[in-house]
Amino acid sequence: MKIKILYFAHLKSITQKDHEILHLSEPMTLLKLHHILKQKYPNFLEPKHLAIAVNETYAEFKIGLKEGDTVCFIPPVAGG
Amino acid sequence: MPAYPAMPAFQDRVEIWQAPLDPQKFSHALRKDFRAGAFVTFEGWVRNHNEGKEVARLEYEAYIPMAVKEIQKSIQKTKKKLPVRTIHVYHRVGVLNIGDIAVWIGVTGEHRKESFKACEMVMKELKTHAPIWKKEITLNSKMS
Repeated sequence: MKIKILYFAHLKSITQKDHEILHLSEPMTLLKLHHILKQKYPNFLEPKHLAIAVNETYAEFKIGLKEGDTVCFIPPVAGG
Repeated sequence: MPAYPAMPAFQDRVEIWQAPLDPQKFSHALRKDFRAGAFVTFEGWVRNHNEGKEVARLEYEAYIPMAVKEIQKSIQKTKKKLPVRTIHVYHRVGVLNIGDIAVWIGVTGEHRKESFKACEMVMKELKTHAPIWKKEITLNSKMS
């Protein structure tokens, strides 16, 4: 299953990239995906400091990923 | 023929700009709605200090398509609560210098009370929901 992950703000600094494509071998929730990213990037922010969006809409960590999803972990926002 | 002809409100608008915002142009786009008796605008500026530090500039970035959608949702939510006519929102991204406009909101309504409230509500929603981030560059961090 192929998914795209977008990084902004603090997460862009931590991962040193603005996006990446992951090929997942099994179905998983966003929380599990976060766990994988936390292993890959030890400084990745904890879920309590993040919101999450799937395909440009806010989502919950418990939902499952689908083929082709675009995921964005959202650090605390500060517009205006 | 009715004494006070009905007139559709203008279309709401949300845009994210890389270029400097142009309030004159934005105001002009909302004029000539003859059902409106109030026009409230808000400009968010880059100020030269924050929390005791001198600010050199701000760098804004946004998840643009989602930010536009979220601000559109904020407008819809606001208009369900408050009977205003039209809401336009512009937000800037990129490097902003002191005095630059980061955000511009314009609201037209029949009366001032709901127009002021709607402007405040959209701004509050934008600050809490739109995926937009700012990085503050202070004079000290500029030198380091």
